Amino acid sequence: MNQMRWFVVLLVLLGAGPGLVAEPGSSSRVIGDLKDVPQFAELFNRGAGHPRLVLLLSPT
Amino acid sequence: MCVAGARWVQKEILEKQPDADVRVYAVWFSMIESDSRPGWPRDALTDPRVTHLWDEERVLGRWYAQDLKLKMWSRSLKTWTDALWDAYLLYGSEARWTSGPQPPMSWGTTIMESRDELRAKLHSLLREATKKAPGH
Repeated sequence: MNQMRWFVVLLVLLGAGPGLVAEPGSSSRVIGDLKDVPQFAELFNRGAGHPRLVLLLSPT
Repeated sequence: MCVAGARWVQKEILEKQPDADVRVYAVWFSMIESDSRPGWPRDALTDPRVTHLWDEERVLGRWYAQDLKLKMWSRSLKTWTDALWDAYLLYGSEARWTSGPQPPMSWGTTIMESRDELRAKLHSLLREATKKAPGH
């Protein structure tokens, strides 16, 4: 049980850490860093099989 | 304007279609001096189907501007910009990104100005996807 709890804590920490990408289905309130276009291409291709909507936004 | 578009997608698309099988990539970047990563409006798009990314160098917006051969006149900034922003790009389930993505099924800017088209095209895409699903 303790191991499971630590595993969940680790996942939460990883998801909230800088430089990581939040996956669909996880909390959408986590933001990851996009470094380059190939990184986005990989993410985009992982979503293949589903319609995808890309939004380009500024925080204002 | 961008945040208004993001809130519209949350309210009018995602909340109204909680079971829609769509993936949303919200790519945020600075366009004016006061924009910053800490200022990212975390309450604008809260649906779990959304993946949020901070694009410090505006690589994706610049890539799209180049790919779509756009020179963007920003009405709010009153200047030419090198990045596509306050924009949506919609892709079908078969689309892959190799040297670039296949052309979007639909795209538009600003999100609020092109929202009717976005809603219509997404509905049509989701209908097609449902028809193709096993059991239909």
